[in-house]
Amino acid sequence: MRHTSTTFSPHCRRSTNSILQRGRLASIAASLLCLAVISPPSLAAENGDDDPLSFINRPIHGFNRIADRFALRPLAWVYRQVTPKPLRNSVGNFFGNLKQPVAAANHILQGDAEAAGKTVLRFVTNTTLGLAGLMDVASEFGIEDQPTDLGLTLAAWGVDSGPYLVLPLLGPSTVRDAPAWLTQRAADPARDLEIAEGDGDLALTSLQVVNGRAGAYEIINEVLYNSADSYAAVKVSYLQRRRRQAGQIELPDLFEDEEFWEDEQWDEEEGEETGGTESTRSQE
Amino acid sequence: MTPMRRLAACCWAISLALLLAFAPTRSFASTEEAAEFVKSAWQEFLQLAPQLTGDADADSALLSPYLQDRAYLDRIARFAVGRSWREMTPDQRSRFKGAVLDLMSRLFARRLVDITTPRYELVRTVDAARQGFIVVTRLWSEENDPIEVEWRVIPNKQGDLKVVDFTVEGISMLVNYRGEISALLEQNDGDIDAVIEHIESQSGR
Repeated sequence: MRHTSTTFSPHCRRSTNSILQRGRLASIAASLLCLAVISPPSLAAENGDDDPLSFINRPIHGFNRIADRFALRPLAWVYRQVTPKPLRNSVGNFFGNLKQPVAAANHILQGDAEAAGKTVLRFVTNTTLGLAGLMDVASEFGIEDQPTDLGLTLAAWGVDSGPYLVLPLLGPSTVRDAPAWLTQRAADPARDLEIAEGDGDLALTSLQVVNGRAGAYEIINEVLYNSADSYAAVKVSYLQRRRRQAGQIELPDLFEDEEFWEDEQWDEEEGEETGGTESTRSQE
Repeated sequence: MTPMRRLAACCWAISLALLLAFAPTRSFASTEEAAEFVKSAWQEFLQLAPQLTGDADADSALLSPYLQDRAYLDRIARFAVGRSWREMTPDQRSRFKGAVLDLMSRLFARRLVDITTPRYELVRTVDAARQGFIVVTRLWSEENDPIEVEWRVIPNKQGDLKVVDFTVEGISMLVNYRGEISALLEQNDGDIDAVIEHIESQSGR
């Protein structure tokens, strides 16, 4: 039996099938999460840059890239052409708003009461004044988004990111983030709001994915199709972003090889460029 | 205080004053100067922006001299390739720097082609001691939302400020180049010529 309910109430029923599926997913996710948490330190890369799973990651990345090139990117391109920017923003706002309760819970788990409070306030404001989250009224009131997730909560608890992992169709992740994402998705109360089921649920998920791809159209194209090594570019970009989201901001150390920088060659080569930095400088 | 002690104290004070006056600090520049440098670099770019056509080769050729002037290509190239720089011949180094410059020019041409509005906002400037300055700006385009760009600037040996990195959406250009070059070196068993050829072919040189 196919449900096509479009009600938007937290008290709606769930189909038994759906509950069983989610329960199964949650248990798988929990197992994976346990695996990630109890992984010995040797499995977890020291700084997240090691890539012991590259032998499997690279083929999956290749598959994802093909899927993007021939399916997601064209869809996102068409979507951008046929939908005005305000509509795309509203769709993004709506899905973003649904994530706020889980974000608030994660802020609490991270011990950040202020961020949790702001997130709850943001959710209430956008759900009421912002027409069920379609409009981001909260930002206009200065209540900025405080995005977080279970992966970042684990990071706050000191769980290492572990090796880099590429998931089929879902893209870049890590041994810590992938099970955390699955767990969070299974436990997300927003899924209990029966906006749609069956084909409707699939359509909403597809809309969310296409809208997300369209929103980051240029930057994803840049990393996937214009880099010297797209696998490395996606990996480094993803790990950098996650570290930054986890508050681990690190500046690349330009002086890491101090002895070398200070050797005599430095002065000889300084300014000797492939097209004339020196000449440009001397014109100043 | 005896005259000898007074003289000694006077000598110390003069020495200290001279030391402070001529001390070679890293801060050939201040945070204000770093912010001003970034602003002028952005204004210079805006003068070039109307000439960008969307043609990768033409735009790259247009931006290349600008980047040679404003970016610290030596440091960028050396950081990107890491310790392999030691084993590279002068010719390889020169070619590699050329390839990196080309990568950067094309990146700029693609990413900034639609940013033509002069709206610019300085968010903050951070003094990162010997690692330079981080100048955080917000830039606007006609179509998209404003983007926050972090410019990392550092004085070169002559004391001129130069850009060494850009970070957009938490992604550093320098770290990405390092990661990509490192992966390419690994795939090519450390053969830097193969890496340079790969980058050159990628950018259509």
